[in-house]
Amino acid sequence: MDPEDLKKILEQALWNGGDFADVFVEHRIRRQITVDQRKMEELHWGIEQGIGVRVVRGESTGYAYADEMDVRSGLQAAQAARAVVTQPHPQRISVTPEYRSYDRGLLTPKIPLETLPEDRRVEVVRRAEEAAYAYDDHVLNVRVSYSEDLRRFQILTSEGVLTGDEQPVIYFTVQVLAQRGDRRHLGRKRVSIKGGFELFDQFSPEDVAREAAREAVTMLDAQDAPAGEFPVVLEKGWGGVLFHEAIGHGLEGDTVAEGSSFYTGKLGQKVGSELVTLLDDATLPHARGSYNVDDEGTPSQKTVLIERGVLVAYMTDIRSAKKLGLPRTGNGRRESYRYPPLVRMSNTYILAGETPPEEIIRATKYGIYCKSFSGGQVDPTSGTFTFTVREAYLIENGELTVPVRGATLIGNGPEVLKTIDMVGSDWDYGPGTCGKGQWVPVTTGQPTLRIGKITVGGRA
Amino acid sequence: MTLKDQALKLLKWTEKKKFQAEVYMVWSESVRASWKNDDIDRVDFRRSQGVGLLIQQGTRTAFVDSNDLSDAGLQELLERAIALFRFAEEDPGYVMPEGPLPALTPMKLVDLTYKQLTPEALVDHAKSVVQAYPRSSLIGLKKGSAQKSRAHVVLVTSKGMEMERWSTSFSLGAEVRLDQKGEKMEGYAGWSRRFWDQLPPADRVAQEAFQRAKDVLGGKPIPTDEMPVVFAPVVGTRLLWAIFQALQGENLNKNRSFIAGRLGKPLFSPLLTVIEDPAMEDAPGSTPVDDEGVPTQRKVLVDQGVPKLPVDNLRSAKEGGREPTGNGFRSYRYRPGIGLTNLYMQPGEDTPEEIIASIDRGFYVMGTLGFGLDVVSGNFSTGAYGRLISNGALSDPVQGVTISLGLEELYATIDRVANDLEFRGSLATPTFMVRQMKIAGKD
Repeated sequence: MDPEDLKKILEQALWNGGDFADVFVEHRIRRQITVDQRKMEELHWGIEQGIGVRVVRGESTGYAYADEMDVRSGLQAAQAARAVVTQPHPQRISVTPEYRSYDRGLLTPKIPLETLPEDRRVEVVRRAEEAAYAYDDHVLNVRVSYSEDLRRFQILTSEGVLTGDEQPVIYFTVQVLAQRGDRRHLGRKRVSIKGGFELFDQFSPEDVAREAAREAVTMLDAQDAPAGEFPVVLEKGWGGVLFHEAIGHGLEGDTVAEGSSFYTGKLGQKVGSELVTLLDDATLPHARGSYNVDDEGTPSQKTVLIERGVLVAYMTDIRSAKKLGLPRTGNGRRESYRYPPLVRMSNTYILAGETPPEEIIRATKYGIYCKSFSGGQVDPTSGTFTFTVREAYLIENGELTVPVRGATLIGNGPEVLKTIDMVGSDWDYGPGTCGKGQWVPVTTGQPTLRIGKITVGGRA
Repeated sequence: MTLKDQALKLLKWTEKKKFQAEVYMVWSESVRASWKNDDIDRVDFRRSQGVGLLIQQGTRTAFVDSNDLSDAGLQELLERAIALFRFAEEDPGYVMPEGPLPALTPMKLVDLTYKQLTPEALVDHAKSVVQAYPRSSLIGLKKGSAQKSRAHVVLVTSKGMEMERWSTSFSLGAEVRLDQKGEKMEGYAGWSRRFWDQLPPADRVAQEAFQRAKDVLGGKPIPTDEMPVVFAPVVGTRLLWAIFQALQGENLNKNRSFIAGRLGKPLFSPLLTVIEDPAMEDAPGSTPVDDEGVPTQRKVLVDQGVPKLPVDNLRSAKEGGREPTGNGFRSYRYRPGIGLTNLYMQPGEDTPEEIIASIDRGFYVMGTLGFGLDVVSGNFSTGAYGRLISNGALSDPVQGVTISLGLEELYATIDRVANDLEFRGSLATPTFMVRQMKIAGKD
């Protein structure tokens, strides 16, 4: 949209006054290809576009959006959003837009999606499907999903910032259902990139499929997980989701400012084991959680949150930074123009330590080795969490023995952070989608690490 | 130009290109106000529109969507659909809705006072929720919210289906955080209805949110054990949803349900009867017709422990060799899925107090964390909080435990069902008791 039109809409939003306002214009093209039960279940192309206008007065926010991309709709949205200014102080606020580019090429694709022939997408899906069925006779069903989202946005704020970003993302998921007798397991592998089709040069569709199939078939032999309290070793990678959920959300500035976080008022305090350094880094090139600029026009950055067990920073957006008197960290994100920004994580991970991962298993007499989770939930106020384990093994006398199923980890995030007693020298991360009333793409990462003691809800 | 005119225009353009088509178009609007402590928290206005276009030639189909309803936007959408069609495969499960639309049960879905409820009035209602909390030094944060929304849906197809539906809905919510000696607990309560004057008064909403938090504040894990578990109404709806999922035709067809192949067998407790009723005055999901033009119907899905009826849209019915049941619901962005109108567990005769009084030692679940439901394997395991039941009465608050049981066994051992059924959303259960569940807590 023409910057002059954005300016008109913004000035309309500020007509009665207000502390801050922005106009967010977004256009995205989504593709979805899904095969299931050897059939093309979904072949889909879609457009989503619109304008969102935000007006902030003190603690109050007015937000309005329209699905139409024209100036008139933008002006109507602006008039609706300013309803939050209940005692008007009419003043002509003039904004001078100054264009800034924060594009550091973090997401620039090698193989752009705009010009990619459609059949290339169908081909990777079919290749994965074939490889998964070929993996083992016990593979009952294979579901492959290819999602693509070409997101572009423009933003103008009442501080005069005019900027934008292009954020193409691919999410590729293979799910394999294996069955033997009455035993079943659904294995899953996901890969993602903010970039282009070069994703499949890094991860061949066959490898992704075989990893999902391996999990599904292996877990058919699983025994019921034991219940009780014992050490749990989390394998490097997506297991970091536990810290994303149970710690990360508590370090989001809006929750902190509201006093709803366990970590409110604890800057500078020791909150975890000295082995733990936790970061949020939106500048990891091509990672699913990365961006050049956040959804309120603040450039992305790498933020150390917990350094050797000491809480050193919170993640912020413009509002929470102001309220907490802290720097802006570029974590203001929104699912789309249909939502006002919230403080959100990007790529959140624990830094690698020094212990070889084999050593961690060897040092554990009895416990559970978690390779992947199927999901989890956290009560943000108390930090109490429950995670369901998808693939896990029993550790007996320092060795992985049998696969176990039906385990849930239940604990308290802040307490778990203190009971991490071994941190591996390996490291990996994995993709996901984080929900906080709005969905945004993220990654979480960690080295292999051990939680000294945690409650395991099992069925044996 | 009306929404229906636009839909018919796109249909005509598509037919000119020698395709048959299904056009689903929606326009919706909502205004929500929330109040926090002593000021406005948020005022949100949403105006959405969109179109889902499915094109067909022979038995092949392709699907595209857009929220650009301008002529140029619709033209581009059609071009994309045709480009995508090159990759379309045989889609024998697709059934194009066929007209004419059958006669429908007359039903009121639109509250004519919608326009009178201004944004300012909604702000006042949100504020009145906040003012209705009991006076308590425990309250660290208090919120109230009020919302109105309306939608207009159009479905037209090359086989003569023309369906239009208008509806409104309203909701009132409360959210409170209690702080006590460094411990925090949040409580929520919310109701939603098609008509504004069917919502409960603000003080009831506020009181319930407060009580839910207060009842479990300071809760601690209990030792790992097995005991009877009583589910409060707001928690039981998740287990009701799991039954609905297990009865979805698509899951049955694909053998993704633990009920697959066992319809008509007495799998569950004779006290368990599950009913879908699309014509309830005091529930928010009521509608005479689904999104595929199929009339909705009252159905006993589980009859005294016997799962009887699958729920189907046009596709799952065809693939499973059954009749559609009026459960095809969708957003414009996707092909129809399988959804519900109003679903409830038939109430029994006991009061919740009588059920609790019958238990020496048990667990009263007031909230759960995580989903923990797996309809493929039939496992149920979730984090939970609530109160300990001791000698027939509620006692200490409990937090940080996991409850688990196989889903089938859980439904089979529902030993008592209370009489306190009330719709908050479109799913409702009364209080009910499960004979024995494993509770993992402290060792």
